[in-house]
Amino acid sequence: MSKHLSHDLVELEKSLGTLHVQPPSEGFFEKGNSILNEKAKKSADNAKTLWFPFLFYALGAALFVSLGVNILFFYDNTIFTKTAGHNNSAINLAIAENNAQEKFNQAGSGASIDTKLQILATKFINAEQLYVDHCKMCHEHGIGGAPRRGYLEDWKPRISKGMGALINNSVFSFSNKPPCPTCSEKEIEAIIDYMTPIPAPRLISQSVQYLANILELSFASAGNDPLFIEKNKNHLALIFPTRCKNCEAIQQALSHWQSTPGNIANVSVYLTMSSESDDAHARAVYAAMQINNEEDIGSKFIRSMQTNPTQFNSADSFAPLCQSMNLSFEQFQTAYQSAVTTEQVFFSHELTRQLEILGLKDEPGIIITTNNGEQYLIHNDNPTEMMAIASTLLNAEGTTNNTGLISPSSEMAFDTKGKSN
Amino acid sequence: MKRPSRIQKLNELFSREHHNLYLAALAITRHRACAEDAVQDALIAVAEVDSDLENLKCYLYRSVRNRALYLAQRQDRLCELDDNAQWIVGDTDNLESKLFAEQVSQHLAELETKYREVLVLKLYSDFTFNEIATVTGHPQNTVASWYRRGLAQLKEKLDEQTLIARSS
Repeated sequence: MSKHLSHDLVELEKSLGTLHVQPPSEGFFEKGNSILNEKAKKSADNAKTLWFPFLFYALGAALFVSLGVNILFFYDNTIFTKTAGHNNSAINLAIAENNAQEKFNQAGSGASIDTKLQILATKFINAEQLYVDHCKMCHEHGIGGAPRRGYLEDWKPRISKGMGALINNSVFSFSNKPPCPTCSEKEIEAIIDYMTPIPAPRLISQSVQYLANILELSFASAGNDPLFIEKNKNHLALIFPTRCKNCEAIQQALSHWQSTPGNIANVSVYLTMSSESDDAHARAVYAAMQINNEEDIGSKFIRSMQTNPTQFNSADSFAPLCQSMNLSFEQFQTAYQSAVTTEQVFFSHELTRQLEILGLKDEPGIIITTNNGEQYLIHNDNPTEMMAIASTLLNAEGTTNNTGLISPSSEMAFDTKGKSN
Repeated sequence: MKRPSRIQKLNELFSREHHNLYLAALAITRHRACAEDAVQDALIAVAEVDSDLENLKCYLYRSVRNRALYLAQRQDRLCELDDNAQWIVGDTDNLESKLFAEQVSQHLAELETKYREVLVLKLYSDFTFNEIATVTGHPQNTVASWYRRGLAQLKEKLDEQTLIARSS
């Protein structure tokens, strides 16, 4: 292929050829070999000891299957009559995909027929088959603007709306997409999960747990109830899927909360900054705020961060900020150092990365917990507006416990600043 | 005659390809220990696969790459990777070669992973473009273009550094 390269590049290729890569450590090959030898030995041992238990299991399984088939035959008419009206496809799939023994194991011996049906309907959804039947025609190649299966760039703007909004769009149709009236919500959820390259976020039930989950499980376990948004859409349709510029919906939600004294139990404002160092600075400012007992500084700082792209990375760049807080740079640095640990930085970096995937980078967010345990996540493109909303919420009448400015990773690192009305 | 088991085949493949596997991982991680870990983790994973694999070599390379990408990403997040770590080395007795290797290490690290991977595999393994295409899962022409672009970018960076050195 060198014949296609220019003379310069051929020369460079030759000079690079005189170099070599750092060789692996001495035991590398031997260690690899020993891993494989160990595996070979293990599999040989397994093969030797497998035949007796296999015979035992085979006999047991044969007995169990025959018992299961008899029971299924007994209930046969009842099951098929009851399923005709609802969740037909899921039941049929379940029957096609699983044998009678497994189904009744799932249902449990004491469960009613209805419970068994529920289990059958939700447990054995064959998302791939449903996708092939209902969605593949458009979603495989992106016909008519349909997001293609497995393409992050196609799904990114949609995923950020959350699973509730995605299900809503699938059920009630969206733009030129034909609705899917025959699919149940659980089936649609399974299809969406099958199509999206990363799981769509469910509503956050516990913000701290959510942050911790991100580290290990990404957004997959962000919420326990994927249909929470759908069930509570009177509240949530106003906020979560909207990401409005003018914030009319958020204002409506605010007035709703404010008209109900004691409705808001907790307000957390968190920041998603563009890099770990920015986040560290946000934490430093929080620490500095604690020294000075000045809450406004935080929002000023955020505004300056958002409007002024200068990186705060030297004594000079921090000077205006220190001046505005009546702190010497040394005092600021002390606060900074006490606020930042490697663990926190890693934690925040991971969160920032995840939020970046979802297109939520550089946006402050608010998590509101109401007294009846509901939680709301607000994201908006305009940081100034978000800070204004946060400030309104923090001072809202009837709010029993407010959390001040926090950064994503500092939620666990700092004691939240509570004040009771 | 008894057919060799999958682990035996894997063993033979590893004996034959261990250096290239290491190279493939090193091109991504730029860190010797990480690259070795990636290869060993992939070996364990592939040895534990139950079904017969159609193309064991291809599967093993893909596993190594995936593991290396994961480790590199994790490494970047957990601690600052030392971008100046010298993973390309020159002739130890020749100062000029040593300096050149240092520069190449640094500038290769700055290239996009896909360019770096193709450059390293083409220059330091005995792989053809076709083989690189197979193990990376990209079309052969794309791999060849990446090689050319990677070389051009590397040259640009090296020239830039030479200019700065001269002006100072």
